[in-house]
Formats: sequence, C-alpha cells, structure tokens
Amino acid sequence: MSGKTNRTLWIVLIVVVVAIILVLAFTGVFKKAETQDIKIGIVGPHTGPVAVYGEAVRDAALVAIEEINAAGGVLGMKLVPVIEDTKGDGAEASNAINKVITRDKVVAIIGPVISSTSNVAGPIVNREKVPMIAPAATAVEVTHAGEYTSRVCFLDSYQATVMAKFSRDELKAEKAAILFDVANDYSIGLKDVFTEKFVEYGGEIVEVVSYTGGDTDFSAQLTRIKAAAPDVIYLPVYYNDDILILRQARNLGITAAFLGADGWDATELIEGAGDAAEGCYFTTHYTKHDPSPVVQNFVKRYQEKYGKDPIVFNALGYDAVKMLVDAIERAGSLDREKIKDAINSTENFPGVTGTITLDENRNPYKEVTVVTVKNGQFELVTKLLP
Amino acid sequence: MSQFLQQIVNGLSLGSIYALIALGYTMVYGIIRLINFAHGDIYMVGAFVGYFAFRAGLPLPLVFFLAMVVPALFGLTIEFFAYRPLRKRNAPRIAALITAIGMSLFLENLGILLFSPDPRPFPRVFTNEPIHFAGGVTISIPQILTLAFTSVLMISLTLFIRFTKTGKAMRAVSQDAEAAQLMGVNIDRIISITFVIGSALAGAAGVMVGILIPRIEPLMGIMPGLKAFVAAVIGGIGVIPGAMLGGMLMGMAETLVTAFISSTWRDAIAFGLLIVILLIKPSGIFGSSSRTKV
Repeated sequence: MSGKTNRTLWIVLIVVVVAIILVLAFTGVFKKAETQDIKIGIVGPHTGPVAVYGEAVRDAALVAIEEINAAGGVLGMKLVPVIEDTKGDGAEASNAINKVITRDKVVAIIGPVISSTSNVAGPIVNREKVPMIAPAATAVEVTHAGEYTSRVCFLDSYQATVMAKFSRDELKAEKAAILFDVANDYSIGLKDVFTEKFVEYGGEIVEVVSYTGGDTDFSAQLTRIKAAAPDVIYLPVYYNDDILILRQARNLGITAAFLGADGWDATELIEGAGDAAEGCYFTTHYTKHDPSPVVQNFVKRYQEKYGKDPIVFNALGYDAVKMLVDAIERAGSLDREKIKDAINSTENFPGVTGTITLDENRNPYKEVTVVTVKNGQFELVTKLLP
Repeated sequence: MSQFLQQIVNGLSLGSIYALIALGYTMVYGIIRLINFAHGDIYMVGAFVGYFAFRAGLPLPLVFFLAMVVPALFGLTIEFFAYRPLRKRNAPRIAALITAIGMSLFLENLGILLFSPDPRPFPRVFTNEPIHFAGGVTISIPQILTLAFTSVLMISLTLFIRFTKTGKAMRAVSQDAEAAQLMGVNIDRIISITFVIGSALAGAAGVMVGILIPRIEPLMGIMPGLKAFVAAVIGGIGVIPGAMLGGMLMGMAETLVTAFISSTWRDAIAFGLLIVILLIKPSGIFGSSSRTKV
C-alpha cells in the first residue's frame, strides 16, 4: 500500500468518527441532564383574533406546572413547558404540533385551544402517537381523530341536557319558551338538545322564536313569548345579545326567569343588564364562587401569579395539565402509549371544572355548574350530572 | 288580540326612530338633491354623546340638548368642509354622493378609533317596570318617551317649515334654488340650517335608540341609516310627511313580519315592500314630480 492511500483512509476514518459524534450529539444521546425533565407542549393561539382563549389556557397551564414542580414534580422529574403559537390558524397549528413532536420530543400536548385547529392537530398526534388533551375544543368531531386525542371541556349538547333537567327538577317549570340566534351553530345546537330533553322530562315547549345575529330590536319576539306565558325562557346566546334581550324583556313586563349557557359567563352581563338579570340561571364549566377546596386553591394560586380572577378558559387549561400529570403518575413511565391508556382510563379525577371521568369517546363525564344572578353577583346554585 | 296591539306599539316605537332619521335624509335631498350617506353615522354620534352625558350624570333634558347640539355641529361642519366646496365648483352630483360615502366611512372609523369597536351597554335611565294598560298591553317608559318626543319633534318641524320665514325660504330653495337666490334668499345659510336640523333630529333618534335598545357601537348607524333611507324613498324622498309615514311603515312592517312570520324573512319582506310601492308609485307614496318638495 502506498502512503497516499493510507492518508486518505485516515482522513475518511476521522470524518466518519466526527460525523458519528455530531449525529449522536444532535440526537441527544449526550444530553443526560435533559432526561430529568418531562416536556409538555402547550400549543394554542397566543396571538391573532382568538388570542384571548389561547393566552388564558397557557397562563393557567403555567400555574399548574409551577404548582406541580414546587411539590416535587412528576415521577421525580420536573415538568418543562414548550410553548408554541398557532395564531388560531390551521396551517400554523400543524407546524406548531409537528415542531413540538419532532424537535422538542414532548411527552404529551395540551392544546390547540379552539375546535378548528384541534381538528387539524388530531390526525397528526394520532399518526405520531403523542397524547393530546384539548382543553376547550367543543366540536364533537375533535376526539374522533383517534385514541390519542381527548378533552376536558364538555360538549355543547351536554349543558343543554343539564339545563333541561335543572328547570324541570329544581325550578319545577312546566312550560318553556326558547329564543335563539338562527345564524349561530352554538345557539341552534343548544336549542335542539334543550327542546328534546325538556319534552323528554315531561315539560312543554310553548313558543320557539329566533333572531339573526346582529339584530338589536327583539320586542316582536319577546311579545310573542310573553303571550305564551312560559315559566322559563331558554336563551342560548352570547352575553352581548343577552344584555339587550334581558333589558327589553323586562321593559315588556316579562318576569319569567331566563336560562342560559356558558356564553352568558362574563361579568359584563351583570354590568350591562343589572336588575334585568336577577334570578336568571345559566350553565357553565366552573365558577370562582364555588367553595370547594380544589376550586379555591386554583383561584388563590391564579390570583397570586396574575393578580386577577381566573375565567373559564383558565380553569380548563389548568385541569388539562393536572389531568395529564395524574395520568403520567398512574402510567408510571414516560412511555407515550402507556400515558395515552392512562389518560383514557381517567376516572373521578377531581378537577376545577368538575370530577372528570372520560367516556369511551374520550369526552369527559362531569358535573355542570349552574350559576344564578343574585344581588348583582354570580352565585353557585348546584353542580349537576346529566 | 292584546298581542297584536302590543306588536303595533312595538312597531310604532321602532318606526318613530326610523322616521326621525328619515327626516334628515329627506330634508337634505329636498334642498340640494344629495343623498347624505353620512346621516346614519350622525345618528351614531348622537347615541355616543347621549351615552357620555348620561354617564356624567346629567339630567335628561340636558342630555337630549347636548345629543342634538353636538350632531348638529357635526352636520354643519361636514356640509361646510365636504359638500359646500363641491357645490361651489359645480361638481357633478356623483362626486357629492361619493364624498358622502367617504364621510360616512370616516365617521365610522373615527368612532372605532375613539370608542373601540366593542359594543357597550347604554346606561339604564328608567326603571324596567312597564306601564300596564287595559287589554294586556304594556308600554315601557322608553317607548312612551320615544313616541311622545318624536311626535313633538315632528309637529314642531312641520310648524317651523310651514309658518316661519326660514321655513318659507327652505321651501323656496327646494322648489327653485336659483329663483330663490334672485329673491334674496341666502342659499348657503338655508342649506346649513337644513343640515343642522336634520342632524339634530338624527342625534335625538340616537339617544332614544340608546334608551330603547340599550347597546351602542360605532357601526350602529349603518343598518338603521339604510332602512331610514328606504323609508324616505317609500314616503317620497324630499317630502317631509312622506318620511314620517315611510319610517312608521318600515318599523311596523319589520315588527309584524318578525312577530307573525319569521325574523329571517324580516328584511326580505320589508325591502320587498319597498319594491312593490315603488313599482306602483315610482316617486313614493307622497311624492310626485311636480309637487313642491319640502
């Protein structure tokens, strides 16, 4: 062999060794320190038109992570959040999910917050086999993506069932009227389920009238409702329309209680409607007026960190992290398949938004909070299972 | 039956709002043949002035006074800076119309900039408790106020135009501006007064709608403005009693369609009515090509 071939061989050998070391370094074999951490993807809209929901989930998720780490972490390891923004957009959500899975190698994902981006994320996490808990996506098809997708919020239909039950059992209502927004799927869905269940429980629907989102004069519809003399009026709309309708209804001399859904859950309702909202009821995920220790602990911790009261999306984000941690502990390992199985077998998990048991479609079975307006304050009435 | 009477009351109070806005459209059109698209936004200005005045705790008459004076100043300013220069240069009518649309967009976006686009609830001025009448009809205090104040404004306007010297001058300008000028009528002054009166009425409508339908936002003038314009056309644009009748018809049609057919058909039927009336009488109910305008 000549000396030249020998030198070439040496160079090739060195290059190969350096390449192997580099590959190992980049794939993380040498990063021993990081095996002490559990990475969780917090993916949601932190900028853009629906940023308020994404931020709420993220902020509360961070409270939960801090709380868990302060108490010694999970399986002796620290939780590390990996935060990615979806901007509320499908393509961005897909990028964000791929990024946290392939680059950050997260153990599980909390998010994406809204239904449309959750539908994009579902097929990806099921292909990559990374468990995902949707905190606030209410569209029914979100969990249809596969076993690796579950959620902590209840479906829209669920709260209408509870309201129908509550109005029959607790309010002893015989006759109900409904006013809904014909241009809003949320409103239509709740109306349909309420109608079905209220009749099933032995009540009578005496009048159903509609309006179109953006309308401001409801006197014609309300006059019809008044003529039907119902005991209660179901009003599954958002709080802005709600304020107008309540005030116009009282002006027309309607004294019956109005019943609503989680779209009512905003302090602006009380500021805007004032007396007109007194004695009305609505269903929601949680209320900070709930005296239970789980809720009060969460409210206190959130206030300490951010100096304001937590809203519903905060509570859902917090529960999503807590439920995931509970599952990791029960799985006893960071194996994603075992974590997935543990999440899907969640039973009687004490969350802020209720005691959660996941059903076979990975949707939560939990109590719905019923809130009333009394002396210009929201007040917890009861927590009901459908 | 009592429900029907109640719906009539609802329709009248909604209609009186449309009528007040329609008056401004019709007066300006009668004098300078301009469809002042910014008029609906003047109504929004009135609502916001009323909102801040109530929030400041001012008494009701003062609130109405301010909510009429401030929009009147807006009307005066818009006429002076936007429409008058065009008129002086004998610009085509389409240029004035486009300027009016521009003014409308300007006011809407100014409102969004100053007040944010979020709707806000109007302060509660009266108790929620309505007054009950025989036959199960109830009239709320806002409805009574709206109907009464609208009637007062309309009667005063009619008397003003019929019996005062300025009113006579307005009628003269609307009939033949050049001839009126030759007779010594100061046309610019009359046009300014027309804008002031029309805008003040829209401002009053803005406060009343805030009390009646307690939610205000910078874009609130668009739909009522459009509907009031339609009302003015139904009644015969340029004719004052026509605007009143047109507004009432519009409010009544909307309420009755919503009450007895469906809210989704409301606008379709209300605007269908416009087409039918214009097919039968192209110049509107009270309009005729030879009749004296205003």
